[in-house]
Amino acid sequence: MKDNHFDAIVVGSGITGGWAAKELTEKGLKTLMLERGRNVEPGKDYVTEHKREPDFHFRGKGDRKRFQHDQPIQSITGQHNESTHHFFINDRDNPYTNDKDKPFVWIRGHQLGGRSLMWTRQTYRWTERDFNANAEDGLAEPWPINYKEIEPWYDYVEKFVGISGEANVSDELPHGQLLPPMELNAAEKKLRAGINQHFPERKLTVARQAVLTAPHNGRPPCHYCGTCARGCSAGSYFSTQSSTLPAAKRTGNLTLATNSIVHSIIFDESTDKATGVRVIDSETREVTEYFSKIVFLCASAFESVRLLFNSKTPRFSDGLGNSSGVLGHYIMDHNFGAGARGHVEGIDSRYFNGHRPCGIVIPRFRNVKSKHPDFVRGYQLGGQGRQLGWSRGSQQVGIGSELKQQLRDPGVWQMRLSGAGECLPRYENHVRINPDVTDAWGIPVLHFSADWSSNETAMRKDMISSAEEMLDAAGFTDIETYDTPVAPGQYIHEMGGARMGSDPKKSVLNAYNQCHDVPNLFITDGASMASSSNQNPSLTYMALTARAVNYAVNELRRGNI
Amino acid sequence: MDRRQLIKSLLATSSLAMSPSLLAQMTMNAHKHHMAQKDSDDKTRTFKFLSKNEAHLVSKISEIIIPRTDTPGANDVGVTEFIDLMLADWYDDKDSWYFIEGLRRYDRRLTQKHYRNLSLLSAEKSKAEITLLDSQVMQNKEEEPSIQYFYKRIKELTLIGFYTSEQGMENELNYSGPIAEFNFGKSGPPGSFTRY
Ligand SMILES: Cc1cc2nc3c(=O)[nH]c(=O)nc-3n(C[C@H](O)[C@H](O)[C@H](O)COP(=O)(O)OP(=O)(O)OC[C@H]3O[C@@H](n4cnc5c(N)ncnc54)[C@H](O)[C@@H]3O)c2cc1C
Repeated sequence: MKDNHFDAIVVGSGITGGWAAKELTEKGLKTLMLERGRNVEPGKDYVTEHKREPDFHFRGKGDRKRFQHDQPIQSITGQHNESTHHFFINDRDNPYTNDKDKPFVWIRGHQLGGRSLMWTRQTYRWTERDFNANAEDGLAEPWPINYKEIEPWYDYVEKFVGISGEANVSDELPHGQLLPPMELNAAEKKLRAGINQHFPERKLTVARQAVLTAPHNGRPPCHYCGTCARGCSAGSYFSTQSSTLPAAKRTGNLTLATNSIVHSIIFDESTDKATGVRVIDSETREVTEYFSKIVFLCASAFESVRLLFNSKTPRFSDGLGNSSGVLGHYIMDHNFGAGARGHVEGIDSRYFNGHRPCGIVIPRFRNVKSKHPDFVRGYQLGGQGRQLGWSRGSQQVGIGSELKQQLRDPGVWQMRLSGAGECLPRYENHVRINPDVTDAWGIPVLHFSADWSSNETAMRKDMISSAEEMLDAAGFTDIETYDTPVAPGQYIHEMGGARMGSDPKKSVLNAYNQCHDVPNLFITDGASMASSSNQNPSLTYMALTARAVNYAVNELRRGNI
Repeated sequence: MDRRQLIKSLLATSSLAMSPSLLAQMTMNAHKHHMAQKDSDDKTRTFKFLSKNEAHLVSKISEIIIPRTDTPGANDVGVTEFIDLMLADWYDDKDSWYFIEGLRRYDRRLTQKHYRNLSLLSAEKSKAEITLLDSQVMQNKEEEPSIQYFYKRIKELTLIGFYTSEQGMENELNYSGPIAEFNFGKSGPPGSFTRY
C-alpha cells in the first residue's frame, strides 16, 4: 500500500503552488504537490521553443478551426497562438457558465507549471497606497496587512526570482532587489523625453520583468530569442520549472503527482481541520485520498474558490470555510483595452541582435497627489515602441519589386500606450457553483456574474486621453485612440473570491492567508486579494505565499494548528 | 537548360553550320523535355482546394505581387501551396468560395476587357492590371465586393507565405527567427535582428 500521508499538501503547481512547495520543503516538511495537468519538462515538452516561422504548419496563423472547436475561449487572448496553444486548456473539457449579458473570459493553463510557463512576466510590487485603498475610500473591507508587513517578503521573493528593471523611478513603483534593466528603444526614449518635459509627475520606464539580465542563482541570463511564452529551457525567466520546482526537488522532501485533479478537501467536523484531499486521476478516473497536517490551496484564484464550494460539509453547506458568506464574492480583474498609438519619424535607431522580451510601463499617476473628479484609484499604462514589419505591406498600395525593396527595411516607428486599471471589489461581482453543469470529470463548474462598474468605465476615458496627450506632447503623429471592449477575466489577472480581512464575518482568510474557519487550510493565490491595485499581481501572490508558509510552519511547530 | 536558353546558345555559336532539320529536332527535344517536366510537376502538385486553373491564376498574381528579382519570388517559395492550404484548412468554406468567386469575376473582367483571360495576358499587361487592382482595393475603391475580398486575401497571404518562408526570412529580411543556439551561462546572442 502506498503511503498517502504527508506533512503538507499543495494543490496546484503554478506560480503560487511552486512557491508554496519550495518554502514548505525547504523548511523540512514532507510535501505532496498535486497538479491536475500533465507533466511538462523543459527541453522535451517545450515543443515549439525556438521553432522557426517556416516550420509552423499555418505559419503562425494557427489551426483556426481546431481552436474554434477546442479553445474558443482560450483563443480570445493574444498570447494563445500556434506556438503556445498547447499550454492552454481545452474549453470543452473545462466549461463554465456566465450570466447571459455578462461574458466572462477565463484563461487557464492546466499543466505542471500552470500559467508560469506563458505569463508575460511583468513583476511589480504593490504600493502602500494599494494596501490602504479599501480603508481610505471605504469602498470595501480594509486589507489586514500593509505595505511594511509585506515588504520583507517582496525582498525575499525578488532575491530568488531575479527581476530586471530600473530602480528609483517613482514612488508608485517601489523597488527592491533588481537586476540591470533592459534598454528602452528609440521610440520609447523619445516618448520618455517628452513625458519628462511636459508631465514631470509621470514616469516612463522599461517593464520590470522576471527575466534575468545577469546570471542569477545558477540560472543563465536571457538569450533574447523573443519567444518566452513557448517555454525557456535555459530557465532565464521565472517559471515553476526554472526556479521553484528545482529548489523544492533539491530538498528531497517533495513528492510530485501530475494528472491529479483535486476534487475536494476532506474536512474533519470534530477538529475543524482539513485532513487531506480527494483526488481524481485525470486519466484513469481512479479516486485516491491523501492526508496531511496542513493544506495549501494554490489552484489559481477561481479554481481554489471552486474547490471550496465543492468541498461542502454538513456544517459548511455553502462551501468550506464560508461561514462569512463572502466566498465567491468581490471578484476582480484589471480593466484594459483602451489607449492610443502614434507614429514618430526621424529618430535615431540602430539594429541590434535579439528581441527584448518586454515593453514599457508608466506607473500610476492619477489620484496620487490630487483627486480625479471622475474616478477613484488608478491605472498604469503599458506599451511598446516598434518599427512596423513586413506585414504592413498588405495594408498599403504597392506591389512588385518596389514593394519587396521597401519591405526589406523596417517601417515607421509606432508607439502604443494602453491602460491597465484597478477594478473595484464589489459584492455583486461573484462566482458560484452551477449545479447543472459538470466538467469532463464530473465536477460541478463555476457560474460567473461580473461586470465593470462606472468607475472602471470613467477610468478608461482617462486612459485614452492621457495616452493621447503624452504621445502628442512627445511629438508623435497620426495618433489614433482605441477603446476595445473587453470582458472581465480577459486580462488574466483574476483575483478575489476568498478575500483576506480581519473580520471573520466579512472575509474568508486572515492576514496570513489562513482560513478563518479551518485553521490548517491556507489559500495563497489570487483568491485572497481584497483589492486589485493596477499592478500585475503575481509578485504579490509570491510574497503572500512565502509569508503564509513561514507563518503556517511556525504555527504547526508551536502546536497551534 | 530550357528551350530559350538552348536556342540562344545555338545562335551564339552560329559559326556552326546548322541544318534546319537539326534545329527543328532540337526544338522538339526541348519541347518534349518541357512537357515531361510539366507532367511531373502536375503529379507533385496536388492542390487541396484550388483547381489547376485557379492555382495557375493564384501563382501568376502572387508572383506579380512578390516577383523574383535578385532574390526569390512568391513562386520560388511555394506561396501558391500555402494559399491553397489556407483555403482548404484555415478559412471557413464560405470564405474560401468567396475568394474563388472574386478570382473568377476578376478573370472574367479581364477577359471582357482584353479578350483573353489573365493566364494568357502578357506579363506587362498582367502587371499593369494587378497594379490597378491593387491601388483600387487598397484604397477601398473596388466596387465588386468579392473582388475586393479576394484581392485583399491574396495579397496578405502572399506576403505571409513569402516572408515566413525560409528564403523570405533569411535572404530577404536577413532575419533568422528565434535564436536556437545559446550558451548556458554566457550572454551575447547570435543571429536575429530587431531594430531598436
Ligand atoms: C498570457 C498571460 C500573461 C500573464 N502576464 C502576467 C504578468 O505579466 N504579470 C503577472 O503578474 N501576471 C501575469 N499573468 C497572470 C499569472 O500567470 C497568474 O497570476 C499566476 O500564474 C497565478 O498563479 P497561480 O499559481 O495562482 O495559478 P496558475 O499559475 O494558473 O497555476 C494553477 C495550477 O493549479 C492547477 N490546478 C487547478 N485546479 C486544480 C485542481 N483542482 N487540482 C490540482 N491542480 C489544480 C492548474 O492546473 C495550474 O497548474 C499572466 C497570465 C497569462 C495567461
